[in-house]
Order: sequence, then structure tokens, then C-alpha cells
Amino acid sequence: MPILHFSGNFNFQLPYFNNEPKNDARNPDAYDLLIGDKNLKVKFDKNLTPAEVHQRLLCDPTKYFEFEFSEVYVRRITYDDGSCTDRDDIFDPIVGKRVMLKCLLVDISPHLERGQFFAGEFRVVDAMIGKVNRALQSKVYTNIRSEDARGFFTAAGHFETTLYDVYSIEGPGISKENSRYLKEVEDVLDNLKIYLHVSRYDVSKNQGNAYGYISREVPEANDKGLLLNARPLIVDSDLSTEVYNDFRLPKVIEGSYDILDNERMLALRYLDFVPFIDTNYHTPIGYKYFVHLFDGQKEIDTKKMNLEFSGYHNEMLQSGGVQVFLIPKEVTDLSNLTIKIRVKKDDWKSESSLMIEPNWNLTLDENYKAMKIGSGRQSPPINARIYLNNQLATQPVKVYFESKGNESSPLVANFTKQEDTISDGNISAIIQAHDLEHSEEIDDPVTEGKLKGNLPWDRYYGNVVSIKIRDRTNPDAQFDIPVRVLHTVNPGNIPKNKISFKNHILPLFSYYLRYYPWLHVTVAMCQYVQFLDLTDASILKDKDKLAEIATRLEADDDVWHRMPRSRDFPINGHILFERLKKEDLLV
Amino acid sequence: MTFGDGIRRNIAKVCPDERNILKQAFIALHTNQNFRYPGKRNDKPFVGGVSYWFKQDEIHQATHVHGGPAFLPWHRELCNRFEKLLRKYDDRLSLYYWDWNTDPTATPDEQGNPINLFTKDFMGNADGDVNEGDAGEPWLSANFYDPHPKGDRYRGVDPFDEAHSNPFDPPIEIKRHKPAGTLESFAKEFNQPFYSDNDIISSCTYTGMRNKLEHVHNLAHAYIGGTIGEPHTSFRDPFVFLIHSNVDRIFAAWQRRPGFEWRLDPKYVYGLESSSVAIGTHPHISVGITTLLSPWAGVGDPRAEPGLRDVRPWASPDNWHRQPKLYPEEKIKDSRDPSIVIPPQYDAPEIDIKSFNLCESIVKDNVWSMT
Repeated sequence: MPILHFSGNFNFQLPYFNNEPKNDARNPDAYDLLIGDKNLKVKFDKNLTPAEVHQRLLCDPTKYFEFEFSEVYVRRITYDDGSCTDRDDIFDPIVGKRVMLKCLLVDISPHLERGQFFAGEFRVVDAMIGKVNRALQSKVYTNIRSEDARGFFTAAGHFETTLYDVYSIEGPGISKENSRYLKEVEDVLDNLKIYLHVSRYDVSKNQGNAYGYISREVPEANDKGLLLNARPLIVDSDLSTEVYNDFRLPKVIEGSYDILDNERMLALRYLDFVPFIDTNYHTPIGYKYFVHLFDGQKEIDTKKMNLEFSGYHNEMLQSGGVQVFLIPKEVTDLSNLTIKIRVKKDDWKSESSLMIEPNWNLTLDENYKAMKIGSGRQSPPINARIYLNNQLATQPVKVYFESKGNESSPLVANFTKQEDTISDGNISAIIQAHDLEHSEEIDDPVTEGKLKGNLPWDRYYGNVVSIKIRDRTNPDAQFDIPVRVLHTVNPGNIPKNKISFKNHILPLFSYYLRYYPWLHVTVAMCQYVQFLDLTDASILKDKDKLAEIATRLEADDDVWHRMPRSRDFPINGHILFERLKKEDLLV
Repeated sequence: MTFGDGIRRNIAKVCPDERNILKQAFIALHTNQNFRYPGKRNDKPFVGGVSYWFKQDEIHQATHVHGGPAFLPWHRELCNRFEKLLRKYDDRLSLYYWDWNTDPTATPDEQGNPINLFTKDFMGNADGDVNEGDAGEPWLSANFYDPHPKGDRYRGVDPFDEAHSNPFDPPIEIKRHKPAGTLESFAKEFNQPFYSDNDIISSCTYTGMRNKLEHVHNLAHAYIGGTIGEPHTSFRDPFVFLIHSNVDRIFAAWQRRPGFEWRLDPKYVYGLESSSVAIGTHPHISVGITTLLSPWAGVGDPRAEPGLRDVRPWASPDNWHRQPKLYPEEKIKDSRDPSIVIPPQYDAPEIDIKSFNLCESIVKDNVWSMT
């Protein structure tokens, strides 16, 4: 199975205004409290230029949440046998082709710094086209460790998900005869995944850097229960002081690797443990990185295999942030294979340890890595697995379930249990959402007061819940799940022909009106125009518009035209619009 | 008048035989098996086998070139390409226009006698009170639409109905709801401004001209109503090309205005919008002058219209636009290409120069100061 490495830039229209829960765009004098300039009012004004709009919103509101590759190209291909286009000087017409990817990158909860891909589509021009499954952003790493950089610009994260509906689209001059990539990928088009690393997001340009690769989908574990996908790497606790200082620790660094067992390949994702020490793409100076393989406790002699890389930015651009190595023949049984990353500085005589594999690991199905739950409801059982030394743990393990508060929402999601002992490695737990419509008195960190009864519909509610193993304070592995709790409409409580715009419809829109200034605008005739005003009841008197809104509210999350783009409409809210097709609206 | 001289004429003023040939050409572009693009209905990932006629709706839906600088040049390209298809049926044909200053149900012919364009012998029914506005013949029997499709094989009325969007399939309806009276009276009834041809042609700038022209064009769609009144389905109704030929006629008249020859120069014709790029996102997008004309430029070029859907044969596996030796006429271009800027010939009536607002000196100053 060939691996296609890519790198370039991305554009992302982050709805910055919704990062401050006290913001309220419905106020005519509103400005973004995070920006703090009262003169930069966010009220819609058709006479503003795009630059003036950007100054106020720090994004293009005509493209809220849109994430798109720009200038991303195929840089390298690694083939089935481990040979690759640049190192082995193999011509493949796919190298240099543009890679396109477009999706909606939606905040799970703005304050939780976790985004999720929806409605993604990708294309390698003249090679293949397909769709991208949902993917949750990893936790955020500090990618640039420099005093003169701060905010989003220093952060990095990655996404990993499967592709579907993938088709080969051979362009002129490109065929399976002259492209070894197309020939080798043909048999696995239904079984591909993408790994994407994003960093250096510049809010002033809404642009950042993208690196990644497309390879065969790797199952979490093989049929013997051996972990194959995304094996974690953590910093060795025996790190030398010099490495510690040069890598500007202790900010967290991690890495991971996949084992492609059929191909006997190892794909090492290294961008989260090779940080930049300045804003000019310099990595820790003078270092080289060496991959060491172990068969159990025994180190395998890999001197002749060239398992090293420089980690320089030029290499990152070429590799897409993944180093691919063949697993040597000496390793006859993959079940005992582990790796370590060591580093060596120019003036050192020997290597020093950097990254090792942890003994314990937790994995979670992609569907459960972020949750949306209706008010007062329970999640389906969340299934997680515990691995010990890359095998499903079969000894009793203490598991702890916790909720973590934040400054932007009351605590509204908790596991139904606090701890458990698991003996077969399989964890199952349920999250209970708070009843937002009939709430007992709870603390509100936003207003620093109390909330009770029907909690405001123009706010967001969510928090992280965590699964930890073996120790509550210093867990050996931990998984954080961002949970969003959504208000729930009870249509049965509204008699026929009694749906009121003010009492029933406007509350559904209030969150969007509050946090998304310049919602539903475009540019026409050289001016910004608002093509849909959610405060205007007449939009629902227009049967065509009503039908379109109803259709788009009901659409699956993976449909681009799904409304709202933030995919957090109150549960059952769409039913009111369906009813309005047949009923009168009280204005 | 010479049939076959390449001049686009007022449809009411050509002889009945020419109107009949035009109608037959429309029908042939759907029913003649030679007039189909490559591929088959169920091809993946991009549908093929679409008739030349249904392709027009597919093209229009895959793009969305309205409300922005490229509205006029993009639709000129669409009309030019469609005219070439008509000439595959009969090379004497041109894309005639409906003069929207007249009521299409009583528009004067060459002798000044009113004729109705909306009859079963030409453009079909437009009366909303007859068969609920069904266009009927001649389109129904030619399968331009099918109110009783078998299974799921139809294109739905709702543009977001993904399950019924295969461009190979017929639309489930073509309806019209034209009110009595003219377009101008229709505009008055809805308190909308109506700009005469002279109002539009006397505009000083490209932006001013296209704003007025697109506005009246929007009114014309709404005036005929039904399928043609919905931006996402309008190119299912053959009458749409008679509207757009008229739009292009007025654009051409603005360009050919004596003393304003710079309007035939790609560098100057678009004025301050010359370097505009695409803004917004599909379907709410403003396409710029420097954006490639899509879908004929395919997907994948950084200058292509954002959010574009693939349309064969400008997509895999045909890729006509990528094979200049085989398909030289499929050259990738933007709105500045001379084939777009130089307008077709119309039987444009003499322009009443005296009624124009005099703005020559302002325009010249603006134009030359941009160099």
C-alpha cells in the first residue's frame, strides 16, 4: 500500500467572536470583548469593506467554519516495498499534483479548543477524489516555543480519519501505466485514511500550515488484539537536561506511529515531538533523530537501515510529517515490537533518549471522541479499551470517570459512575446530560451567579469528561471527551397553529444571533448583503424559504448544506419547521 | 433578413419557419442520441451520458455566477456555447432573444402584429391558470420534463434534494406563472425599479451597467415565474436562453456604444472590477473577473470557482479542457478572454444617443487613470 505525503497551507475561517461567552452581537453597540476595541462594532453594515469586516470579526463571515487547503501538493510517495520517489529517484506523475481538501471545521464547544471535521471532500488532482469522514481534533500542542509568538499561532493539532466514496480520476497523461502510485492504490481505494497535522494558524490571514499523508486504513488492533494504530509515544522521564532545555520542555510533546502489518512498515508521526524554537521554522538546532526497534527487551541491530531523520522543516515539507520505515526481517513476531526515539546533537558522541512507548494506553471509538447530548438525556454507552504493552489488558484495572469544569459553561455533563474496575480491557460508560429546561440551581462561571429553571437558550453548555486509568491524580492514561449539551424542544407541548415566532422560533435562533455576527451575508453588487435575517418572521411565511430551512435543518451532519453550520441546533427544533409547512405561524 | 448570417435577432421578428427551426433544434439537443456527452447515467464519480439540453441545467447548478462581476461574461460564454450546439442541428441558427420591453404573449412581429411566444407550437404554456402552469407541449412529449417518472429517476424541484439530482434525469416539472402585462408593469406592481435599455446602456461604468441589467434580468425570471423563477432550476426552461440572449444584447449594446471603444478592450471593459476574485461560498458566491469560467475550466486549478461541482466532459475521465490538441475550443479562460469580451452581433435597434446621460469625460478619466 503506497503512502502519499503532502504539505502546504490551509485557510480556515474561525468564528472568533464566539470564543468569548459574554459577547452578544444582538446589542447594536456590541464589539468583541476579546479584541477590546469599542470602535470596532460588529453590527452588520453593508458599507464596510472586507478589510474592515475582518478587523472586527477576524474572519470572513461569508465562510464561517470553512476549512480549505491552499497550495498543498503531493511531495513524496512511499511505495509498497518501502522505496520512495525522492530518496530513490523514482518518477511518478502524481508527485507535485495539487491536493484539495474542504470541510467545515466546527467548534465542539468554543472554549474547549477542540474542532471536528464535517462534510469533508478531498481530491488529488488527476488522481483520486473522495469524501472525508468526521474527525476530532487532537489535543492542542505548543508547536512554536518562542517568546515572540503567542496565541493560536503557537498551537498545533492533528486529525486522523477514514476516507470514503473514493474514486480514481486519471487525468490526461496520467495512468496506471505511468503512475506506480495509481497502480498500487487501486486495490485499497475503499480502505484509505488521512492524517492531517495543522499548525501556525495566523488569525490575521486566516491561514496556517498543513502536513499529512494518505495511507491504508490501519485497524486499531489485529485479530490477535495487538494494537496497530496510533501507538503513542511519550517523553522519556530520564531525559537529559540539555535535551530538556533545547526542546523547551516541559510543555507536552507526544508522537505516535502505526504498524502496517501486511506491508511490514512503520509510519512514525513526529510533528508533535519536534517543536519549532522560533517563528522561522527552526527546530532544535544540531539534532538528529534515530528510531530504535526492540523485539521485547532486545534491541534490533538497525545500523544498516538508516532509521534516522533530521527533523528540519524542509524535511517536514517533504515527508508531510511522517517517516516510513520497513520493519526488518529480524523481527519475526510483531507482538513484541516497540520503538524508542533517541536524539544526537552534532557535538555529542552518543545518543540520548527522547521518546518512549508508555506501558498503558487508552483508545476510544471515533464516534465517542466528542459527544452532543440532548438536555436531560443520556449518551449511548461509550466504549473504550485499555491496552497494556500494546495488548488488550486482561488484568483488573481501576478506571476513574471525571468531569472538568471550565470558565465558559456550568458543569452540565457527568458520567453516571465515578469509578469501576475493568478486567477484560473493555470500558463501557454512560454520560448524563444536565436538564437545561428544568434545572436545579447551579453555578454559572460566566455570570458568576446562579442559574435555575429554564437556562438561557442563547448560551452554550458543555464541558470535558475524562476517563483515567490506575490513578486518579496521575493516571497512566487518560482520554478527554468534549461534551456539548443542547437544549431540547418538546413539540408536543405546543398546540396546533400555536407556534409563536417570538416564543418558540426566536429562542432556537438566539444562540446564533448572539455569537455569529454577520450571519447569512454574502457579497453582491460590490456590497455585503444579508440574504437571510433570522429575526424577521416573514422568512417563515415564504413557503419556499421555509421548506429550504426545514430541509437543511434535518440534513445529516455530513451534508455541506446542513443548517446550522455549527451543527448544534436544539434537539427536535427542526420539527417546528416541519409543522410550519402545514400550520400558521403566530407573529 | 438573412437566415444564417450569424446575427442574433428578436425572436418575434424572425419568420415563423425560423422560430420553428429554433424549437426543433432545442428538442433535438435532448432527443437526438448524437447530441449527448460521453458516459452513462450511473458513472462514478461523475455522471455521464447527459443530453446537450440537460447539460445546460447541470452547468448552471454546478456553478453560481450571479450578483458579482462575472455575471455577464459567464452568461455570455454559456450563450455562446449553447449557440454552437444549436448550430450542430442547423448551422444557420443563432440564439434569438426575447425583447423584454414587450409582452411575450403579444410581442410585435416584423409587421407590427402581436404574436404569442407561449403556445404549444413554440415555447409552450406560460399561463399559471392552465394546467397549473405546466409548460406542456412541445416540451412534454420531448421529455424535457416528466411529471410521472419511474422510481427515483427525476430531478426534484428542491435544489437541495440530493436524492433527485442526477442531471441525466428529466426534471419532474417545468412550470410558469406569467402574469398579464409587460415586465415593466410587473416591476411596478411589486414596487421594483425598472430600467429601460437606454437607462442601462447609458451607464458610465461596467459596475453600474451590470447592476441595473442584472436587476432587470432577475425581474424577468420572476415575471415568467415557476421553474424559471427559481435560480437553481431556471435552466430547465428553454425560454431562459431567450432571456439571456436579451441580457447579452444589452451588454453588447453598452460595449458597442459609439465613442466608447475601450469597452471592447479586455483591459478596460470591466473597469474597477477588472481584477476581482471570487468572494463568498457556494451557493452564495460572487464570482470575479479573474476567476476561471467554470465548469468549462474544470476543478483543480487554484483560479477555478470555489465550491464548484465537477461537470463532464470537463471532468474525469473526459477532461476535454485538459486536451488542447483534441479540443482546442475548450481552452481554459477567464472573463478577460477576447472570445468573451468581443460581443456577438445583434440586430440591436438604433440607440437613442440623445437620451443618454452624458458621462463620457468622467468615464475616460476613470479609465485612463487606471492604467
